[in-house]
Amino acid sequence: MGSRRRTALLTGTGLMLSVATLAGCGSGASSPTNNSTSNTTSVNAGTPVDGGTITMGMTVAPKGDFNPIYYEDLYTAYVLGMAFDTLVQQNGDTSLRAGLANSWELSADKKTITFHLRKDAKWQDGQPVTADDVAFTYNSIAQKDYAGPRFNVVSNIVGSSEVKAGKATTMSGIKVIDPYTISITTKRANPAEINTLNFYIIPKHIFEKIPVSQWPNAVQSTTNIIGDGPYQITKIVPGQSFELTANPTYWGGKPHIQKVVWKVVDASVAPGLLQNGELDVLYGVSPKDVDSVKSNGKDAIYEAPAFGYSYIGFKLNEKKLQNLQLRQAMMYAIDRKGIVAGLLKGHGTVINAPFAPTSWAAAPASDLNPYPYDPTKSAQMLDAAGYKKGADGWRTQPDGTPLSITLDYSSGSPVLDQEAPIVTKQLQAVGIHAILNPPHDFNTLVTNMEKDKVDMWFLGWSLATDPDPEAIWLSTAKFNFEHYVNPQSDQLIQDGISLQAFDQAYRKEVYVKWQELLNHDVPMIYLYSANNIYAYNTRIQGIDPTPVAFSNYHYQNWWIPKDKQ
Amino acid sequence: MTNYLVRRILFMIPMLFLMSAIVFLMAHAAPGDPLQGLLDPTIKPEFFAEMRHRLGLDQPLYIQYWYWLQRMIEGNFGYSMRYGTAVSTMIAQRIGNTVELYLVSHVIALLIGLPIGIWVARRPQSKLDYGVTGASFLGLSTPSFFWGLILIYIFAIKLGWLPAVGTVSTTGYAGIGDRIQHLILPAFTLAIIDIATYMRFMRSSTLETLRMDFVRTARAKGLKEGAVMFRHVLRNAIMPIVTLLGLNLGSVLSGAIITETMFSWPGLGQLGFNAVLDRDYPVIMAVNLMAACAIMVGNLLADATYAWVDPRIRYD
Repeated sequence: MGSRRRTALLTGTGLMLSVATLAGCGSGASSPTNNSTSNTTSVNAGTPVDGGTITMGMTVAPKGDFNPIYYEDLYTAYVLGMAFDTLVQQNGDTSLRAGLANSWELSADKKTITFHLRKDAKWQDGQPVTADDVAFTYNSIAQKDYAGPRFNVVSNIVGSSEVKAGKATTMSGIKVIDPYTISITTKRANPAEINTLNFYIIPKHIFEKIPVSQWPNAVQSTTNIIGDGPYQITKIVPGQSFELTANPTYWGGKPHIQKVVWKVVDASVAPGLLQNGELDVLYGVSPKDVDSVKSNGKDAIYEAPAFGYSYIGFKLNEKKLQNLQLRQAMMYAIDRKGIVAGLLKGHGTVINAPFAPTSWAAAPASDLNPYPYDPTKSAQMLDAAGYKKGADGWRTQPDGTPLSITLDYSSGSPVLDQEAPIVTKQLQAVGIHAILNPPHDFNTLVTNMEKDKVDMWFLGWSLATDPDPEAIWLSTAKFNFEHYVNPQSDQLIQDGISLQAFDQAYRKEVYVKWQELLNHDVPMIYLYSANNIYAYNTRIQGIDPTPVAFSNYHYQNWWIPKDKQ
Repeated sequence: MTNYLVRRILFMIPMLFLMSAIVFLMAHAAPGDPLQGLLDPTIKPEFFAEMRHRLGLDQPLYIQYWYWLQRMIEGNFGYSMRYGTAVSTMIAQRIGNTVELYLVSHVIALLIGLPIGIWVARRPQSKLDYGVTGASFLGLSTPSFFWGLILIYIFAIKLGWLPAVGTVSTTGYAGIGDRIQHLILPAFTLAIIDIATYMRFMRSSTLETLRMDFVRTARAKGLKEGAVMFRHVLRNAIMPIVTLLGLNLGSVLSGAIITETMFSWPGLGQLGFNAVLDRDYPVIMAVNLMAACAIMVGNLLADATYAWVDPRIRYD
């Protein structure tokens, strides 16, 4: 065959991406809570008028699976949350208010919850939302063939295990009393149960004929989506944009803004798009962009600490990390305030226990050791604990053997890229031989964490709004990557979901004690809770954001004055 | 020639098998699996084991590969392990975007790169030549995301002439004009490096050809300069470009990842990259197969066109 000239060419093959994956920040408990209700306080003056279109931006593309019981990612939830309602809604302080359920009551043994549904809620095809839909939703999640991750929603309902095992098709604990009343009996009374059960309800008449395993690919989940929320999903351009149209029959009132378009935009161009008016709302503004967005003359910023925190974990099964003085000294060695001020530009809160600072059960600051940045004190503590400096300048373990600790982090986060080297330097400054490994992709980092192949690692948790820390901190929990085993902590965690804990004051007391315990034990370096930051064009009126949800489930109240539509 | 082409095409089949086996092994060699990244404490631990079983991830690798191969031969790409969506649907939604972006950016690159290359080759060592060569170095050495940001800043944000993200407007008129408006910035961003490449290749190959004896002969026999250039010089000088075009077809995915991400242009590059991060094996396999096909077809086309452009080359 003929000769062929080959030349090495320059082509753009470098993978220098700034794809902020959800996973990159450590996704977490995301019990979805959504939608809208009465007791509205219109923040802005003037009488709302109908009409107009707004464009809302998100910086990561949703995965495009709009089935409420299958979806996984936060970005899909942005869209789903406008189209589907839940039984109850959360106020800004995480207390509950009416949603699809007007009211609810607990039985004397606290095991049975009876929900009374509102009678004016309708699916977007005109059918009423009834107790059958609620029962159908929960029973579907319990099915053997359901391949989504939400079994936790129903796992405490009587009969869920039987349905999961294929021995029954419906849970015996769910009783439809009349079309608008449903009672749910749980195996074990749990004060967090309503939060756990609170989930998007799906229409029975749409899904009952399709096997549950096929839902993710059904047109009912991908193109013809019938919800019951204030907006109906009317057009999907996969990976790119999602158009929703006002649902005139919405029980909370017909939304004023006629059309909402969610657009996927790269984080690097988003501030510019706010400035030129192409975006009206942006979820997930980066801290470094806040000042420029604020001063662009068009937009306002809303921010609130996220329900979650960033941390550096310790592998406590690793003998060298079992020394409490060492871990506490490390807390003093790291300038956490400086990191929040410098890297987050102040848009975050330093934490001193593994708890959301906005939670109603958060311990008062005075109860916790604040571990202020104090390298001198840190060095003294290490000296006192027997970590003497060796000939090479690094501290040895109390028994004289060398000590070196590796730190791992994941690529893709501009904040972590700076934070990890800073923390490493600060640990080295007090004589700890800290070694920062090059970043791995998130999946690799998690694999190494699960296999205990790391000493310390940077990660974050997003939390549900209910404060129960069981899933992360119980000694036996899968997500207890630190292997923090402490019977006292386990007992407090159990107390926090005991029958007595239905008394919220008692429950808070338990969680404060637990936070004090973990504040002392330092199973991880507590870093900060970064703010969720939202930008919105000031032409939009009627926005009343809360730390729980920017929309406060009140999308139908947003409006745009005629002259700005 | 026909024989040769048939042989080449038949040869692609074992190549694809080999490639698929290697990609399969490499994809599985990376730590983690599609469920590893799901760090959601509300998820019951049993879910992970159950899903791994359901997805067949608990089977030995060769069995997993065998299952994949069986489905593949039936023309079934399988389902995304992360999202349950049919891989064929995911690809169908995006392949058009990638091909469109790639073709348009290449047409731009050729229309700009080749004429400039020829033009400066006629004036070697001139100020113009130095200027253009310098500019092409800048084009080659500056990463495409940088050009992308600059173009977005100027044309989308400051001037507001062109949209910065997406393939179509979601509101208002969404016809062909709208589509073209959305294409301009990403296509130019992707084209910049290719413009520089084609320009440089065309320049040096034209220069080389201009020094050939047959060109001197053509001139000596009194042909007009235009005829010399078009009938003699360019016909020969274009050959490396043909090869280059074929080879570039293979880079369609790798080149597009950054541009697609920056312009929120949902294409195969974005899909493949996210699949790698998610360890979504069926998607990784499918996207890699498409890339492998693109490379092989590109090479084949290059060879075939080579023979067509240059009658001296015979395949038998």
